[in-house]
Amino acid sequence: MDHDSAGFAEFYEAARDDCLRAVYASVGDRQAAEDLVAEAFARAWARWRTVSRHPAPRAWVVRTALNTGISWWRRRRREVPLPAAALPEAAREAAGDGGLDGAVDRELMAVLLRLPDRQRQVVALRLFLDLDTAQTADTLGIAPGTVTAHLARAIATLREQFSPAIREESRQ
Amino acid sequence: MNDNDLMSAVRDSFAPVRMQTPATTVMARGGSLRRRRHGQALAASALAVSLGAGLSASALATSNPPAAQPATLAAWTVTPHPDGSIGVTVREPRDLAALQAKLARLGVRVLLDAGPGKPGAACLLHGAPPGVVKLKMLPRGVTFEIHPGAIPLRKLLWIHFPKPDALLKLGHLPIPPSPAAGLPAAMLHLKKTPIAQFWIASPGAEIHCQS
Repeated sequence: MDHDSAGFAEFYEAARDDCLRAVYASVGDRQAAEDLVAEAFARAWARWRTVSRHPAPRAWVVRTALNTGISWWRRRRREVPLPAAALPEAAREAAGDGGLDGAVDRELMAVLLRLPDRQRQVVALRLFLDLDTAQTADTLGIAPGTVTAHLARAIATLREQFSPAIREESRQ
Repeated sequence: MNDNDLMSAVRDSFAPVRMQTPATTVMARGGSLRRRRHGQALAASALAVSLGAGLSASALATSNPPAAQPATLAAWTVTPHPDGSIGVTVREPRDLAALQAKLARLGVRVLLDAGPGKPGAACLLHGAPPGVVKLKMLPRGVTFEIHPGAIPLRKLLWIHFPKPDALLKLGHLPIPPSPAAGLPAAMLHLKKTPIAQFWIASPGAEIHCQS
């Protein structure tokens, strides 16, 4: 394995779960998040010389995944469902979900999905990538003040709609 | 509960979520994207050099004459290109399993079949899988160029020959004026007879088709 490959493999190993969680929290679909993050990492590897020098490569991956999600959404209506039995084994393995793990509390996901897109993205970047306000603003292409406002509103909503569920859970 | 506790609770809820795709799969896909990009750059620079030398488009066309037809044609041929794309010519829709296996070895997630069966008519592609396939029809078969890097992850290209006999008759018919060579298309017709259909398939997925 050459130097670039080793560097990318190391980055992938360290960043993939956080990027997946950030995208999952943003799009609300586990399988779609896996596909989008894998595609974004593939694009990162295709231009690794550039991405490896990016000040926040994880943010680059998440932003690419979210942008890709928009174009896939447009394309998806053109797809056809294919019965699994019609597929060759190799294609079934490539296409199946392989029993994805990671079911997130449904109530939490419902609350997250009720947030406006931008608020959800801000929460995802701050929470799972540990980006500061300036980096989050840069990644989403919005002003730092807007990031602060979105985060405050998101936290208020989460506190109102999710905190009671946590308290209820902890009492039981 | 303060803000930090709340955020920690949300973060902890996502702790079981872990990426399943192996690095090798991601790197293979990335390599394919890279080759595709470099191929396009090389083609663009070659064109720029040619134009700089004062060659006209017609000169370019005549400088690259078609290869002589071999005496005996195989049912299909596969030609990998340096830019990562793969040229395929199908003259007869037979041994499709072998063709599928050969393409799979070249990294193309593809399913080929022939016959009257027709997948979900309501979802017939309008305009083609963008960038996945470019195709043209020749006197003796269908030639198309697959760009494996454009096939989305966990999806596959499904190529269907609804009327195998129609493909065999191509050799006795004049070259149709359309579709123009290299244009993307979801379906290839000859005098309203469907010759080949190209689909992006999403196994098991719930699809909301729009007409």
